[in-house]
Amino acid sequence: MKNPFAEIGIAPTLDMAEIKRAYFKALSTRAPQNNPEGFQLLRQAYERLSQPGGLSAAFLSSPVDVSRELVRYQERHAAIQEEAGAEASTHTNNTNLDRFSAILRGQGYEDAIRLFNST
Amino acid sequence: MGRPKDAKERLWQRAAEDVDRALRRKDAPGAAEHLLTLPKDRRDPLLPQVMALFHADVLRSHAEGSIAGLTRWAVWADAEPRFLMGREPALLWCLLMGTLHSKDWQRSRRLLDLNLPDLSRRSPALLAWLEAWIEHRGQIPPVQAAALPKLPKQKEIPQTDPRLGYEPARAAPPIPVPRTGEEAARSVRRLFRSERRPSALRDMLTQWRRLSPETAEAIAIQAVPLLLREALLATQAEPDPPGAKGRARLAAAVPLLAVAELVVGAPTELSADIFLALRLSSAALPVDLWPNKADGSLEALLVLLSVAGVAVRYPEHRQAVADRLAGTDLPQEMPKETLDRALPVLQTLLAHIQTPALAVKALSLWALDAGTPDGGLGPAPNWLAGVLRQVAADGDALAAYLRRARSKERARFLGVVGISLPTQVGELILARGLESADEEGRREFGGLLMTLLDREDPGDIDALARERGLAPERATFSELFFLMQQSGLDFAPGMKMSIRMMPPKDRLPMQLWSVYLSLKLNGGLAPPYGPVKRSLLARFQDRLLPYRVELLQLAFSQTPGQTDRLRLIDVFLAGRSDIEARLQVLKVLCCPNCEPNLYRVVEDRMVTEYGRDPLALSRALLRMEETGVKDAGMRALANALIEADRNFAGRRTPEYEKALYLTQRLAARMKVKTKAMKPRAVKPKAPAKAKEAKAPAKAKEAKMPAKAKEPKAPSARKTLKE
Repeated sequence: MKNPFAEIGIAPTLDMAEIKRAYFKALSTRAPQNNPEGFQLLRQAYERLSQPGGLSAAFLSSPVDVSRELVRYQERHAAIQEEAGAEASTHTNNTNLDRFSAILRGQGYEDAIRLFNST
Repeated sequence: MGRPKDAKERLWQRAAEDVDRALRRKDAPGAAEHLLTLPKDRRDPLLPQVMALFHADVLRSHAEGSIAGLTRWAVWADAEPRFLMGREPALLWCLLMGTLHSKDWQRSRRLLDLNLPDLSRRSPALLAWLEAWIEHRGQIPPVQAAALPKLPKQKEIPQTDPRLGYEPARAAPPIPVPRTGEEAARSVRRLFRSERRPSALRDMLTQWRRLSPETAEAIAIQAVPLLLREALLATQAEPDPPGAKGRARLAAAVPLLAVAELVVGAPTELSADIFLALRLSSAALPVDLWPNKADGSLEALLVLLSVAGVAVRYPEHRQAVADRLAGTDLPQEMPKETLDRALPVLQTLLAHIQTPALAVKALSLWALDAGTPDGGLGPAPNWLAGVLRQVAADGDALAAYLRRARSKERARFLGVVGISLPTQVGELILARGLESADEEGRREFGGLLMTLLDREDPGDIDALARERGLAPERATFSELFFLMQQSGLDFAPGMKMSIRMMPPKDRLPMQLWSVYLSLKLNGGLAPPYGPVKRSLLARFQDRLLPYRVELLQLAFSQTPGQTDRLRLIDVFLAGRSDIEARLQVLKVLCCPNCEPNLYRVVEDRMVTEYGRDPLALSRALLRMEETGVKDAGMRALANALIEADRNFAGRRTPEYEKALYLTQRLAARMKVKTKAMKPRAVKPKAPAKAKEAKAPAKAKEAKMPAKAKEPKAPSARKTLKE
C-alpha cells in the first residue's frame, strides 16, 4: 500500500482535522459505486491514519519534503545563520589577510615590491 | 681610570663595560639593552657599533620569522630613534612585518609612515594593502577588501612525503578544542566552514565532546542544527531511485548518527531539531520492511534506533517514537551493535508507555541477545517481566495484539514467554490470550502451556510432598520395592533385584526420592506435578486438550485413575470430529497391553462411529500401520473393515484395496500367533484377479472360498465393564 497521505491526496501532517477534510474531498472523486477499488484504497488509507498510533507512525515514515524543511530550518535558525554569515565574511577577509601575510612571509622589501608589481 | 665617585657614574660605567662585552660577543640584543640604560650623551661612542649589530639582527630575525625579536627591536628603536637614522626601507620593512603580526598598530603606523615615500612611489598596491591592514586593525570589511588590488598568486606550500609519517604543512591552523560555551559556538561554526565531509565533522565533534565534557551541551546546541542542515542537503542531493522497493536512503546517516552521539540530556532548544532528525531517519526505513528486505535496511534501522534513543528523552516525542517502533517489524537476526541500541530505547519507552506491541518486541529482541552457551535462554530481566505482567493485566489489549500478529511472531513470543518469564506471568498471558484466540492461536497457546509444565520446579515437588505428608527420611527400600511391584511397570531386572537386596528399613538415598514420589503419587515414572503445575493444568487442560495431543499425554501422566483418563479422552475427542484424532488417542494409549481397557473403549467407539464407512476404516487402518501400531491393536478395525466390505458397493480406490490386503496379511500373521481370529476371505472380483495372482503364497493359503464360509456375525467385543 502506498503512503496513506499520498493516497488521500495531502502532504504529510499531524492535523487530523485536515486529513478528514481531504478524505471527504477525495471521496467525491472516488465514490464506492463509481470506483470501488479506488474507494477501497482510500478507505484503507484513512483507517490506517485513524487507528491509535497510526497517524504519527505514518507521518514519521512518510517522505520528507526537504525543500520545505530547509525553509523552516532557516526560519528557526536565522540567528545562527546570521552569525555564521558574519563570521564567514570576516573569515573570508581574514583569509585574504592570511594570504597576504603568507605571500610576504620571508620576503625581503625588494622581493615584496617585485612580487606585487608583477601582478 | 679611577673609581667613579657616585653610584650613577658607577652604574653607567658598568653598563658601558657590558655593552663592550656584548659587542665583543656580537650579542646585539644584549648590547642594545645595556646601551639603552646609558644616558643619550653616553651612548654616542658605542652607538655605531650597536647599530651595525642591530641592523644585522633585524634582518636575521625577519628571515627567521621571529616576530618576538622584531617586535622587541621595534620597541628599542622607539627608545633610540637613531637606530633608524638611515631610514633604510629594508630595515623598516622588517620591523613593520614584526609589528603588524604582533598587532602593534601604532608602531606599525609610525614605521609605515617612515617608509611611505618609497612605497608609494614603487608599489602602490603593496602600500594599499598595508594601509588597509593597519587601518582596519587586521579585519578588513568585505567592501574595502573588494576594492583592494588583487593579490599575487600564493606560492604552493610544499607537501611533505606521507611516507615520512608526519603531518604536512597546513594552510590553516587546526581548530583548538573549545573550553567554554562561547568558544564552542565559534569553534563549531568554524569547523563547519572548513570541513564538508560528514564523517570528519562527526569525528571532530565527538572528539571535542570527549576532551571537553564541560562544553558538551554547548557543542551539541551549536552543532545539531548544522548537522541537520547537512542531513537535509544530503537527502536533497540523493533522491530515491525510482521504482526501488526499499527506501534505504543512507545519505543522511552520518550526520544523523552524529546528532545522536552529541546530544546530552534533553535540551529544550533542540526539541524541534530532534523531531526532524527522527523524521529523516524514519523516512529512510520503510514500515513492514522485513518481508521485502532491502539493502541498507539494517544500517537504516541502526540510525533510526540511535535517533529514537535521543528522542525518547523528550516527553513530547515519546508517543511518536512508540508508535513508529510499534509499527516497525524487526528482523529475527540483528548485529550486536543494533541490538545494543534497540533494547535501551525500548526499555526507556516502556518505562513511560506500555503497549503490547512494544512489550512483545522488547521480549523478542532480548531473546535474540540472551542465548546461553548451551543454546538455551535464561530468565528475562525483572523490568521486562514486570512490563509484560502489567501489559497482560491491562484489559485485553495484549490478546487483541496477539490475535492480529503474524503466526510466526506470535509463536516466537509465546516460546520465549514459556522459557524465560515467571510462571505467574506466563499463566496470566495464557489466560488473557486464550479468551479470544482462534484455532491456530489455541494450538500455540497449548504449546505455551506445555512449556510451562515442562519447567523444572523442585520447590513445587517439595511442596507436593509436604502436602501429602511425605518426607525423604520416612521412605524406605521396602516401600519402594512394593510400589515398583504394584505399578506393573517394566523396570530393568538389575534395578528391582538391587532394591530388594537392600535392608528394608533403611532410608532411601536422595537419588531414588524422585522415583519414590513418582510411583507413590502417580503410579508411574512421570514426576508428579506440584501444586502450581497441577493448578495450571487443571485450569487450562479442558480448553487446550483438543488442540494438542501432547497435552493429553501430559495429562495422562498426572492422572492415574482410568475414569479420569476416560474423561480426558472424551474432552479431547469432543473438540475433534476427525478420525485422525481417534488415532492420536490410540497412539497415546500406546498399545493394548499398556492401557488395554481404555484402548478397547476407544477402538469400540471408532468401530461404532465408522463401521458403516469402509473408506474411512481403510484410511484409519493404513494410518495405524504407518504409525507402527502393533497387530493386536489393529485387529478390531481390521475386522470392522472386513465386515463393512461385505456391503460395500462404492468405487474401490487403490488405497481401499491396499487396506484390504493389509487385513489379509494381518490375518495371516495373527493366525500364526493366536487362533482367536479367523481369516476372513475376500470375495474374488474380476479386477482383483491380477492382484491375487501377485499376492504372496502365505496370504493365498489363508483365503477360503466365499461359498464354503458362512457369513461371520458382527464382532461382539467385550466392553470395559465386562
